[in-house]
Amino acid sequence: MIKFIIKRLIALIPVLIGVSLLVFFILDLAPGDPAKTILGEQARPEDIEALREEMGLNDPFFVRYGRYMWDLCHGDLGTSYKTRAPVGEEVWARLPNTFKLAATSTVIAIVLALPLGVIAAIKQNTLFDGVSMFISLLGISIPIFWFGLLLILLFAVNLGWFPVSGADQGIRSLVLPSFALGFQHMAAIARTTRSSMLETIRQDYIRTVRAKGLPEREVIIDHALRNALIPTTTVIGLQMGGMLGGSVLTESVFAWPGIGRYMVQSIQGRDIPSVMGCIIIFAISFALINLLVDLIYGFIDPRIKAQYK
Amino acid sequence: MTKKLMRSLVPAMALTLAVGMFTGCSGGSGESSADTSAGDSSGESVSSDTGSTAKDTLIIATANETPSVTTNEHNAVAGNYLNQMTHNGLFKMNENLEPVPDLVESYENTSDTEWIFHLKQGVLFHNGEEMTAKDVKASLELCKESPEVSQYGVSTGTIEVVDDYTVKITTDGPQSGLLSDLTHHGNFILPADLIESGHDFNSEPIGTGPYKLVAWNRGESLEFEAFEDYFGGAAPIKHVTWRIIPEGSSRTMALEAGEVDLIIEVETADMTRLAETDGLTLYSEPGTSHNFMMVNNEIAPFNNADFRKAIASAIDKEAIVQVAVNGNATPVDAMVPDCFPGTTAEGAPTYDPEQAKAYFEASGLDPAQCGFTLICSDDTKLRAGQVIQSSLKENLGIDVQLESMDLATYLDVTATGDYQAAIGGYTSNNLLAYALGVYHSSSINASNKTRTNVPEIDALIEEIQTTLDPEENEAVITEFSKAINELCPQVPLYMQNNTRAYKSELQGFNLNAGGTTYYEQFSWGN
Repeated sequence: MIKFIIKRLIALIPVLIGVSLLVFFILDLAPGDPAKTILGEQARPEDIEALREEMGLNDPFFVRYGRYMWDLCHGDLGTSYKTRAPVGEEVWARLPNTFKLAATSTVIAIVLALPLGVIAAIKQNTLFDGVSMFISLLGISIPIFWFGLLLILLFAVNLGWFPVSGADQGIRSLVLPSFALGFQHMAAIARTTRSSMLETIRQDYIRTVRAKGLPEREVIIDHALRNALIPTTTVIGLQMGGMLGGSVLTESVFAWPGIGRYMVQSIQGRDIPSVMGCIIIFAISFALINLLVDLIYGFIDPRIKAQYK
Repeated sequence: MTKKLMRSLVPAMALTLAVGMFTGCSGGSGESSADTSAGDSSGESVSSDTGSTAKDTLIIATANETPSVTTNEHNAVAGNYLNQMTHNGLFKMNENLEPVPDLVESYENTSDTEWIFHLKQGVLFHNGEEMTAKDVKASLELCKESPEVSQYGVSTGTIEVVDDYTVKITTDGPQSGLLSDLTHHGNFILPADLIESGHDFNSEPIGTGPYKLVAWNRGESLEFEAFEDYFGGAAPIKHVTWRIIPEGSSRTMALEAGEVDLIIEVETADMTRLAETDGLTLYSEPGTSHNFMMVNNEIAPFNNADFRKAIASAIDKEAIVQVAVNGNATPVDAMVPDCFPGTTAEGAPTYDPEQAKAYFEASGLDPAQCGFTLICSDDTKLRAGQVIQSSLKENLGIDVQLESMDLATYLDVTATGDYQAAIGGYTSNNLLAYALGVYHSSSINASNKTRTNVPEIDALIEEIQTTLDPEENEAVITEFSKAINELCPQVPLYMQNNTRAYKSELQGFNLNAGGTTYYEQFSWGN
């Protein structure tokens, strides 16, 4: 298995080079001058030019990209055009918050989705199935922006149980944004679990264990759910990866100091080093989450684990 | 069976463990400076002699995080708010937008180009050193070298240290805008030795201001504490926290829930509700932000003055104010902000559909050939654009296409003249800076987005710059106002109000039209 992990980590290198080149190229093509954006509408042409020179923006594309990659190889994510601070510091200041939100939301999504999906499958075409899938549909359909504001209005403004925004009150600060984000992601996991369970419980081996007289709870949890978890785990991994960079709306509504909002602001300001820093971190995180998902497959299904050797 | 159950629970346990680790080990970006109560606006401390509690914390919610707290490394409004707390300039703007001495005790204007400034004595920096003339010279020269703020260093010419408490500035020709420029944060005073040693002012800003930065929790909050040796006397409120809450509705709800005490950018849709809430006060007064529809004067049909006047007369600005900013602005016709002394709306086209048709007739243009694209870079501008679209179609039969665009692209295309029309704005504390930025030919390819290039207008702006006598200066401003109104290079729309909402027990609230607040004047009432 260690060999498998090492191989996967080595495969990350070309991915990072490809991602960085692509993003650098797209940002270079995008209209908008970082110097003008930083100096604002009232800047003089000579100041804009001086800042462009200072930031090295007048150099050719490959010179700038080469310089960036050279620094990256030395562990330096560069200096933000906008804040003049090292991108590494800016990213690391926000990354724990992003992971915290993504992990908690994932747990909430799983805790809500697995029972919903499993019971909807075993009670297919009943009222419970309808209600479960309706809740899932709500999760997908309700704009998180609106749902977040409703949660704030009810639980923070009216009941005063949780803070309206920020991340400075520990677990209390985490509850509302995690629930808002988790509820949205719950939907996809629940629907995947349901369809996967429906397919599994119709398999011959399930009929066999039932015929052997095993209690239904054991049939579902030990035999059906375990096999049905493979596609669900894939979806959970993808969802969690998406949460790392795609929680911008949640972060904005709850003023959560995460990396998603920082990256969007950097894109708007054409702050190329900051955008690149975020993308590199996302790419690494996404790849590691996928690796983790692959390893979890092995725990769920020994046949897959055998292939890692 | 138990073993099997345990195996199936492994992924869930791993995830739970991961959450526990993240939650446990990162309890803190916001907790790093636990001595201030960032999350709870009650901010009460117990007075040891009386045993009573007194609130000594102010929590302010704002939409934007400053890119920097270093005075010379940004030109951001969000940063200016903070620099005003931690630093001082030689001058500051009073409530009438007049520059008045701050670190300066007195000054004299010995000739058209020579200014002598006598500094206050005994003013201390946050590091305990006394501010002297060498700090002033180093700071003003730093401003000149910094692209972000160097435009405010042009007027300061040559700076000389006469003695420890006297500075002489020799300007390059008469500069009527010198004192205004000295109020800008780019010219705030920093310790000379720290400038020389390359001190990181962004990590540890050292100024002479009433507050010191204690902690900057990136993306979340900035915390300040009162500087007890402040030359103007220690601020009554000992702790100030700026919380970054990007979403307007969330800011409003944070104020309603009592989590914050003051919000800077008030959501337009929430204003009525806030005004009617007991215990909260809504402030909404005209500011200096002049908003307009700028048109590229270098290309047809906008190079036709009668056409420009026709569209200026055909647009219903009252409707724009209602639709775009919910009535929190004043419709304007004048080409320059009318809050500055000497400005006039005389000669500017007003909303008059019949007159618009007459101007259009005089232009000799065909409505079918006059359609154009209007760039709107945010939702407010988009709403204003929809009213413009409707007005021009109804009154002149002109088709307008609205184009949404992100800020960076908008700034680029409008600065380089690669556009037809766009909704924009300009905020300034004095008329000279406004006129130089918006209408002088030297600002083409930068902030002169209408690309106005008229020698007579340039000459009038330069005359404003070089006329030091206040009365004569005002007369030139009036002449310039009339001339630019007649030229009509763009379509003024409205002057945006400055809005704030705060807890009513907050005393000493102040805000000038330029948006500057002196937080050291705030206190908590009983």
